[in-house]
Parts: sequence; C-alpha cells; structure tokens
Amino acid sequence: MAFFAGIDVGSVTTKAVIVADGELGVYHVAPSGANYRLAAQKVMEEALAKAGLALDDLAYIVATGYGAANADFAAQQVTDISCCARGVNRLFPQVRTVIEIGGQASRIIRVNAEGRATNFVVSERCAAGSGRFLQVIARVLQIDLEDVGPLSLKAKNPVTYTTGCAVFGESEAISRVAEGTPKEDILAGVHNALAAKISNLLERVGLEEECAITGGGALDVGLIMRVEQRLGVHLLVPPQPQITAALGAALLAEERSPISPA
Amino acid sequence: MEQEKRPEEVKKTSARKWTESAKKVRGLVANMYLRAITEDKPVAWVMFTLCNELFVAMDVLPVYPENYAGLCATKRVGDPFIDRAEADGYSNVTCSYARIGLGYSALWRDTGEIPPFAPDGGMARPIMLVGSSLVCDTRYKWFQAFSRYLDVPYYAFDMPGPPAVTAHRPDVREQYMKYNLTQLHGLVSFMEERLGKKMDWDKLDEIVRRAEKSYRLWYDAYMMAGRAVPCPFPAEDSFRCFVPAFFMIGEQEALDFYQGLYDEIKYKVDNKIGSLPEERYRLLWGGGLPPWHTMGIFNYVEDRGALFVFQSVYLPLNPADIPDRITNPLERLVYSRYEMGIRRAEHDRKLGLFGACNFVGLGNPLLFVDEFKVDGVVMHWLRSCRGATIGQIYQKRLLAERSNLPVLFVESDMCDIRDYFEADWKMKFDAFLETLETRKRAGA
Repeated sequence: MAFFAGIDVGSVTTKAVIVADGELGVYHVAPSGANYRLAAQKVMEEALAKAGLALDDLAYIVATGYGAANADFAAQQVTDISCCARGVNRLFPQVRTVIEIGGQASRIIRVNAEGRATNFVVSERCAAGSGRFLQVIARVLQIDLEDVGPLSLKAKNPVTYTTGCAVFGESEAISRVAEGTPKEDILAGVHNALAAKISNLLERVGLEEECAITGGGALDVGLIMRVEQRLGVHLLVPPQPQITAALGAALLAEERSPISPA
Repeated sequence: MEQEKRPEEVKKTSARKWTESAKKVRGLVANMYLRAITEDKPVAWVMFTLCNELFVAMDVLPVYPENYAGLCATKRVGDPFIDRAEADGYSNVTCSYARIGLGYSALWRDTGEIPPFAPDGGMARPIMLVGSSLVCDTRYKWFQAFSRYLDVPYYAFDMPGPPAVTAHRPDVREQYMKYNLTQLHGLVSFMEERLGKKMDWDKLDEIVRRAEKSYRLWYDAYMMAGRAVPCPFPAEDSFRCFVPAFFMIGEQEALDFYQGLYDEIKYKVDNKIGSLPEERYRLLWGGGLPPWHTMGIFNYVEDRGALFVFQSVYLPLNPADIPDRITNPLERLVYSRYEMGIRRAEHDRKLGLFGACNFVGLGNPLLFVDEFKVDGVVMHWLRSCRGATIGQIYQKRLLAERSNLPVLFVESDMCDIRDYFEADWKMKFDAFLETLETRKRAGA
C-alpha cells in the first residue's frame, strides 16, 4: 500500500493529512507559531507517528497554504484554493460552492463535479474578513476560541458593529464591554459582521448549491448559524473542517505521484 | 534622517521588456527630467491634461509629477516623500502620486534644495503650475498645495468629459466645445502672462497636427498588438509606451517614437513573432493602474505561461477624423477630445451601459475580451486611487453576465508599496491560473 500526504501550512495552524487508497488515514493539527518551517516539520512528524510511518514511507507529498514553501520535504506546492476544492469534493461531491474561513482570509470557491476550482474570490487584505477577527474579539472578551460559538448562540440582542475593520472592531468590543453588553451579544454581532462580508464576497462569484463551509471558522457553530441565516441556505460542515485543504493536498499528492497506488 | 530611509539595496523589480520601443522609454523619461534641469527654458509642473501641445508651442518644458511619482515607485525611493507628506497631515489614502509630489515639495521647502535621493536629478523648479479637473477630484487641491509649498502661481482649468447619455446631441456638443475652448483660452492667457510672450498660433497648429499623427500611430499600434496571436507587445510594455503620448505629445520625438513602435509591432505581427513560446492563457489587465513598485510581477505570471495581451487602463485615444473646416488648433484639440469621449459613450450604449463615465470608460474590459481572445481578466484595487478603482465590481459583474470570463482582483497601490503583499498576489495568480486551466480543459 502506498501512502500520500498533504500539509497545509496556514497562518494560524498547520495541518497534515496522510491518505492511502484515497481514504483519510490520520491527521494532525497544531499552531503554526512564528516558525513555519519548524511547524511543518513537527506536524508532519506527529502525523507520521500517529500512522506508524516514516517520512520515507510517503510516496508523494503536496504542500499548500501561505507557508507552503517552508515544507521543504514536499515534492510540490499547490494553492489552497485548488486543495480546498479537491478536499471538499471528496467529502461532499454534491457541493458546488465552498466558503472557506481561514486565519488570514476568507475565500469563496466555486467547484465543479471533478473537484476543481472554476472561480474564486478572496477577501480583502483586512482581518475583519477572516477568522482573525474572531480571535481578536475572543481575546478581548477573555474566552477560549472554542467557546465563542456555543456562547454566541445564547445572544438575545446582537450588537451591530459600526466598523468593517478588525482594529476598530476590537476598540468597539472594548467599548461594549465597558457598557456592560453581554459577551454573547458582542460575539453574535461579530458573527453578523463576518456573515455580511461573506455574503458580499459570494455576490461576486455567485452561489450555487449545495454549499459547504470549511476552515477554522467552520468550527464556530455561531458563525455557521449566522451565515446560514444571512444566505438562506443550509451549510454542509466537514467533521474536521480545518483539514479540508490538507486533505485535498493529500489527494492531489496521490493523483500526481509518479508512483501508482498499490 | 530622510536619507537613512533610502533603501540601500534595492532589488530589481522592473518587468522584462519585450520590444525595442519599450526599452527606449526609460531614456526618454530620464532626458525629460534632465532637460528641465539643465536647459535654460521655463519649466511648468503640469497635471496630465490632454494639452501638452500648448506647452510645446510656448517652449515650456512640462514636468509631470504623476509620472515622477511613478518613477520614484519603480526605483523604490518613494517612501521618504510619502512619509514627509503624511507628516504634514496628508492621509494615507490620499493619492500616492500626490503624496510623493507633496513630500518632494515639502522636503524642497525644508532644505531649499532638491532632495538628494530624488531619481533622475529631480523635478526642476517650475515657474508655473497647471492643473485640471480631468480624471479625478484630487487634482485641484493637489496643485494648490504645490503652489503653497513652492510659492509658484497655479492655474486650474476645467476639462469635463462629455456627458455619457446626451453627448450625441448637437446642442450638447456645441455647449461642450464652447465651454472647453473658453477654458483653454484661459490657460493660454495665463501662460502668455507668465512668460511675457504671445502664443504662436501657426506653430501650435503644426504641433497639434503632429500630435494627431502620433495619436493615430499609438492607437493603431496598440490595437494591432492586442488582436495579434501571438501577442508581441504585452501589457507591461504598453504600460511603458504610453509615456510619450501622455507627457511628450506634440514633440517630434514622440511622433518618431510611435512611428517606431508601429513599425516594430507590425513587423512582429506580420511575422508572427510573439513574446512567449506558448500563450497558454491570454489575460487582460482590465482595471486599476499597475503596481509601479513591482512591475516584475508580470514576469511571475509569464513564467507560468500567461501573458497580459492588453491593458485597458492607459488606453490610446481613439483618434478622430477632424473635419478640414476646423482650422483653429484649440478647436481641433477640443474636437478630438470630445470625439474620444463620445466614441466611448457609443461603445457603452451599444453594450447597454448607460451612465458610464466616458473618460474612465466603465465598459472598457468588455470591449476587448472577445476581439483580443482573452481567457481571464485581472483588476487592481488601488487603496489610494478611487478614480481608477470605482466601478470594478460593476465591471466584474458585467463580464460574468456577458462573457462568463473569470476576474481576479488583486489589491495594493500604484506607488505606496506598504499596501503590497507579494505572497498574496502570487497565491492569487497561481490559483487564478489553476482555475483557467480547469476551464480550458472543460472547454469553457
């Protein structure tokens, strides 16, 4: 049996996936930190350890993400747009639109039946359009990121953010805290702001159902709910949304490897 | 302190040049600034106003701060000027062409000398400043500020584009011609007063007609290149070769340049000499000024088999056939500008785009995608240029509706490199080319 791997070196987390015969074997996720090269090495080592493999056992590796160049053990680099499209297609073949909410940017990707990206749009260079905004506000509210979604679902009066900027948004959140606004209402306001930005992005490439949401932002149930409300569609969510692009990279590794799978 | 900020090691960021004509532009630009510094002739700082012919006729050496800002950006020495302008309170979203020029003027006022790190010897001291309303709103106040920094008289005139919807009406044409003639006569009077001499109308007539020939060659050369498969004259070359038309028009040197450009492109087209061995993807630069600070990004795209076969930003003026009955050179100038505007309006009307601005030409990308066999369109969002950015989302929507062409948006600024994120651009270009490949395979 031949093994193939994909590694997604993102701005917030690094993800490695190992596949065999097109099926997900193991994966590992860890913070990228400030040294992407080290993060890539460590995450791959952890994934290999989980699989009981050595690096030499991998027939082909594809790297993706902003820090892909740091995964010098990879044979090839592919954009996260293409990897995400391929990963989603394996998980949900019926999906034609992907909302990918990463730490650096949000992306809308149109996908064909073969799992290839046919069009895409990336959010502007602004943290308010990405998962970074959630991190910023979670820090202000002194709550763990994984608690943001469940807590926001309790909101009764979501605040309306008057800014489209994460830096000003942080100040605005602090002001709301000072006013005594409940945390859940502040969080739901952030989710609404992000949902509006995603909706605007979708306008540019069009929404064709079915639609999936991936990336670290898809771990946030509150955000998913607000995006669904805003768009009026049901979103499919992978069991591990963070690793979608890494999975796609692994599948592309299998496809592009000069060694045929056993 | 400012000198400390000058980059010690500036990496080469310019794009490859594919034509001999494009290689000549750098020398023309350097000479333009050198002449202004060394020749004993009056210098005017001028906004791009479509009337360079007047300055040539009056033996004035025009210097264009817009062009100089682009030069600073390509040399990556714009930052100290931008910092100086922002220190005086100019916002970081004020036009970066303006910020570079304003910072330059402020530093000059501070020290009484041309800033030592100014490329090409700097912009020579002017005896007059001339701005207009053409293209964007920053232009009036920008030169007014120059005037205060340099204590030099400023003349501003109005140059409205023909109205999009009613341009074809005879009464509108008459009003427009009359109004613009008045404005140009005002400029001539100002120049005569500053220079202490009268306009030589016969000389101006000769210069205007020479400019008309140059415009014709410019237009024919660009269109011939855009249609050609393979394309011998990609966008990065045309982003260079518009310079004589914008900033030297009316001079014999500009006419010679465009004759040479036309001949070179015709030879290459006739002999099917392209730029790339294989044009896997033909792209259109469909909106936004280019990133002057990093023109080498065009090479990145080319190395992946894609070529920008045309840019619809610095478009050649569609030359008008001016009736023989119009013999006054100022009237000829006004007539050709009006015709240029209404031709774009007519194009827009044919496309059903009512209300489009004529000079910006909202329908532009659509005009070229079919004829130039384009696979995809790239547009550049400019943080400090509203005039060249506004309407891009609308254009993208039109392209999607009418041609199903994919559009990539990249963002930064024409001169302020602080808004540029190279990894992001490369990632987007890579992903865009991947999607074009998918479409190609699918026969889209």
